[in-house]
Amino acid sequence: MSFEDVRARLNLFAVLPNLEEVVRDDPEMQALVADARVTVRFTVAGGPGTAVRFSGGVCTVGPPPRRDEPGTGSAGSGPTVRLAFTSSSHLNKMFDGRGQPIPVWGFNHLGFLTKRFTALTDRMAYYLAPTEELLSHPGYLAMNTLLTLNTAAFAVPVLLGHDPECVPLRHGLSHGTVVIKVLPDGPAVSLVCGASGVLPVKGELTHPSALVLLKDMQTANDFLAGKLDTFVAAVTGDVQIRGRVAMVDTLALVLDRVGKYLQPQPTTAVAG
Amino acid sequence: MDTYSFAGSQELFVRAAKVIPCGIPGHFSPAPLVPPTAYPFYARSGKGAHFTDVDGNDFIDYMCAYGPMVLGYDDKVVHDAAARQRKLGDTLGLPAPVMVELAEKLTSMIAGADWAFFAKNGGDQTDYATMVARAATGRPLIVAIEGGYHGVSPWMQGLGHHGVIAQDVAGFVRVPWNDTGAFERVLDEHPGQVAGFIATPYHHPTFADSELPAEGYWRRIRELCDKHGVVLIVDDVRCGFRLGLRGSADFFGFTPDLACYCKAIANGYPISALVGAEALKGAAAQVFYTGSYWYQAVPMAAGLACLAELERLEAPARMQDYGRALTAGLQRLADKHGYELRVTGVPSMPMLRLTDDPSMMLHQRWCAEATRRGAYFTSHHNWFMSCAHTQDDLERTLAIAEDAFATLEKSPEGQGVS
Repeated sequence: MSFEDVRARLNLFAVLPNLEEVVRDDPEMQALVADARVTVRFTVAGGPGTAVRFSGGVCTVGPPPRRDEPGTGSAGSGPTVRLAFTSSSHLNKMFDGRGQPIPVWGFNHLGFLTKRFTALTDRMAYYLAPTEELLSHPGYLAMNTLLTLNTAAFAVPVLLGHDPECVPLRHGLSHGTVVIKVLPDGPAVSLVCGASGVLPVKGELTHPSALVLLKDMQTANDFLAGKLDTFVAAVTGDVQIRGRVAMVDTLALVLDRVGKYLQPQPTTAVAG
Repeated sequence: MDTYSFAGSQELFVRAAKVIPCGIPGHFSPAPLVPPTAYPFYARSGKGAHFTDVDGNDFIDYMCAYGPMVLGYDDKVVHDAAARQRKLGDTLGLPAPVMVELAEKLTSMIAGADWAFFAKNGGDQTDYATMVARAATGRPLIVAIEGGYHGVSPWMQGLGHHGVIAQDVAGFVRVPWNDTGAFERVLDEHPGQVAGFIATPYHHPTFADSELPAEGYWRRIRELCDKHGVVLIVDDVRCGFRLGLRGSADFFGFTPDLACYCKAIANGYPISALVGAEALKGAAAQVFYTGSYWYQAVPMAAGLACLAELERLEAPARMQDYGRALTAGLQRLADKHGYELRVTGVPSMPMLRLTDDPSMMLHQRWCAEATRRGAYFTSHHNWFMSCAHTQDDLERTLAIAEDAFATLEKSPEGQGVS
């Protein structure tokens, strides 16, 4: 699979799901979509697709709706807005803020797309493009950490499935759950590793096979941004790894590849 | 029981991390020690089966420098032999006679060994062995075991690891351990293309139980290699001379074409050896392979003395006996405290795991608590016995282990599954 194809999957399946937290945790964004009842479907010609749903003030990102899924489009027969991309590169350009999608369905909702949805994705891009000044604000630090943690977790199945250097690692990954958690009560992600691959889950699952515990939000942010000397941090206890260390070692190899595709941080500007 | 602190190790590591990648790279890295704060990182000295860390803490060592320490630290017999050679010369303009003597010694000891070639590390020899196999057969492929370890060359680490590219691993096929059918399928799928089959005498991966060869496994592998003209390579780097002095292949009842040795040859002096059958001596000679310090005479003299001591002490039996007594004692203690301690591998190199917690967190806590009390236990790797471990060490270790079990019971985290 080409670099652009892998990157498109990362944008759709690892970056875009962060909209859920942006709506949930940013009051302004929550208010912006509070009354929205709309689905924005992303499709890449000959490639992957996903859908962003808004309903009851909640955003959910997941598989595209079935054509007969009720309540998602005119006459309940499909997505309300469909954004088509001619290629993975086309999609990636949009995530880089350098390209426009082609709305092919739901023209009567273009207003939502160009105004509210764009504001939302701009806000997500803002949270994912930190500066030292922004990170000095605890609220921004927490949001950036949360979104980066989620992006990393949701990148794992994409890379294990499609990155040529990660695919061979899949075979050596034991079954079980790896939890990455920010202490004392910060965000967590769980990576459920099984025969069919890795399922990322937002939050902390019980009975982990391995734990990666990050001392606090700042440590977590530095860790995820690659700014932390992880060897020193592990030795001093700022980063604690317990349990099936080999699983963490393998996942670390996968996570090390995320930056190849997603740096510099994406600056999403859908339909903007 | 008092517990140790490791302020000196911690301080030194922080300094190290500024000037050395990883602080401590490779297999001595604290990374797999859980939690690292319960472990020493730097040793100041060693004597017998003990080492002392930079904080002055004394440990009964069950890692034995990951294998090279086999007679005990600071062994006088080996040191004296090394000192005599050092006085004559070490890295000279020509090889020293001791190189021939050591080759003669190894070929006389190891079953099926007609020649010996010296280098420094085990990985030097596993790499060389694959080259010899390819030179001898004119074929490209090497078959290895999934999860098997043969050093740190790119082919060994595999794609996905940093610095490894697809071309590095193109000539290697991995098959599961104890699965002769999988090897047969590779031979069928790549007719006339397989140069060598490389494996350790038994499967001893990190982070997992060790697995002995199934009944008939090596016999069948030998048959398949003979039938298809494949060079059978045994990586005896870790096991060598801890199972038997004629080689671990002999211990398991078969004869390889090539066998790699390193760790226990010279009790810590740097030397490794590839030994092989007469039929492969020509191919070994054709492969150009060398290193700046591979002719160092002092480690060769140390090796000669160490091997003689291993024979005199009947070392494998001694280490097996100690390992049996140790693991049986630990299992009794585990049982007494309501845990199940699983022991796999061979007694001189046991792999231990508390099965009560599949995540291994409980086992990691027990190993850490024992280490903080002076028995150096790791949770991710097989342990090593040496000829220097004494009855006093055994009794002290069991007392420490019991205290560590008791500590687990007092902690909510230690009540079983985490």
